[in-house]
Amino acid sequence: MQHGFTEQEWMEFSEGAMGASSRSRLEAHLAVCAECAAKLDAIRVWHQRLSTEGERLRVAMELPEIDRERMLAQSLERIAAEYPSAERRGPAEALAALRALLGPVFGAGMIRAAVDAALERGAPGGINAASWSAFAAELREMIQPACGLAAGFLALRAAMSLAVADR
Amino acid sequence: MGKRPAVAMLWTGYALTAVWAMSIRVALGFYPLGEPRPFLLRPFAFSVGLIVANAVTLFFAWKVRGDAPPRTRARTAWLLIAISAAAEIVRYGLLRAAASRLGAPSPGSVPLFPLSAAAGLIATALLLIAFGALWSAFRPLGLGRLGVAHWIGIAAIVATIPVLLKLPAQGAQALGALAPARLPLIVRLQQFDPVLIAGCAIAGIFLVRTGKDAGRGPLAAGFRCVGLFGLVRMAALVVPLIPVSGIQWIEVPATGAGIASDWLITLAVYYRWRLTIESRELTARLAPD
Ligand SMILES: [Zn+2]
Repeated sequence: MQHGFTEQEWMEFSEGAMGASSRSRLEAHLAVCAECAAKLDAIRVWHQRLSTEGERLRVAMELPEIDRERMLAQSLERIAAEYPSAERRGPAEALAALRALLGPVFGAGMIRAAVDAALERGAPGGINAASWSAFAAELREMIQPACGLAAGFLALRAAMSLAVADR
Repeated sequence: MGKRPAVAMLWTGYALTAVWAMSIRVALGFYPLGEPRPFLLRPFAFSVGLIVANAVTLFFAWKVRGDAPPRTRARTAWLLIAISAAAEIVRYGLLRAAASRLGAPSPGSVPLFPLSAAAGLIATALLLIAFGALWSAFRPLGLGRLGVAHWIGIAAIVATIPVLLKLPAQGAQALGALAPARLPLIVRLQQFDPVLIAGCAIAGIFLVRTGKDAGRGPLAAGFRCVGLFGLVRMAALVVPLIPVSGIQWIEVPATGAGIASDWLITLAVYYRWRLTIESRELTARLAPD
């Protein structure tokens, strides 16, 4: 929470997925608060880097086996490097990293729909260190019926590899 | 094998089978009926390509079924796709057997043509049910909601059904001497064939939309193949009916693409299997043992 806005709201705003009324409230605040404007810039730059990495991951998936192994490892290393250190890491960062990881395999729209449904069911009170594993379990439940057991297991593993810290 | 070479191989299989079907069609004009033709240009020959396509489909659909959680619609759908591929193999096998017997019809023999037609109908009907089950597996996530343009497309397909229903009757007339060999029930069942194909085209619209909502990746690529499958099967039925001069130039490739379209289901199933492969690889990378 910063100046009355939740992490979820920051993320939605930076992705352009925020409702009109909340957006104008945040925009009004951004016009007068340099601190939040700087935070938003940082989030946007970081999202851009993550989505570039996601794109590289997609390309790596298409490669022949030998190159794929190497490219996958490098891509995952870079995503891990982009992931903030434990004290700066929050739900917004974790969700964005999760999307960058899983989007290339499932498709960005599929993963957004599954994350939204899992947030609603697994963490109705908002994401924090305690509700993250419930969210991860729900994410698996959301993905499995449509995409299969291997896909569901990947979603669970990816979410559990991105531990969330309370701040 | 990497993804790209595998996909390229499947597309090549599709193209070869389609060209094969087309050249047989063209050869019919050069070689008078009854005159011996080179082996590869005999009517049943291209069924080899289709048998291979369905064998590959059966193999991957069975693997994907194993990856779907028990008691889910997706698992049923992949089982149905596997059975459908098996039915298609039976169909083309029977067709080959029937064609090799053509010269010497023996009274009281098994009616192979009607049986192969029945296998084809069953295969298409199972595919249609499977497509519906797949779409419904994605619906709880809000994927695959149709827009106005989709409904217009569906209305256009539905509008052509009455015209298409007149086709099997004409086909039976064209067969002439063969017609008595068909069981009356099967002839009546074949009336449903254009309806089933129109159904596949409609299911294709639903799944393409679902894939578009899912975003770029193996899911969307697979669903696009299903959409293309519905489109080319529909085109093979509709194009010959268009009253435009010179349509026969399009008719031959359209029919070829339609006949060989089993390969598109093979591609769709392979793309879905890739999702499982990629998930496993990424999981292994995330948590190296
Ligand atoms: Zn502020």
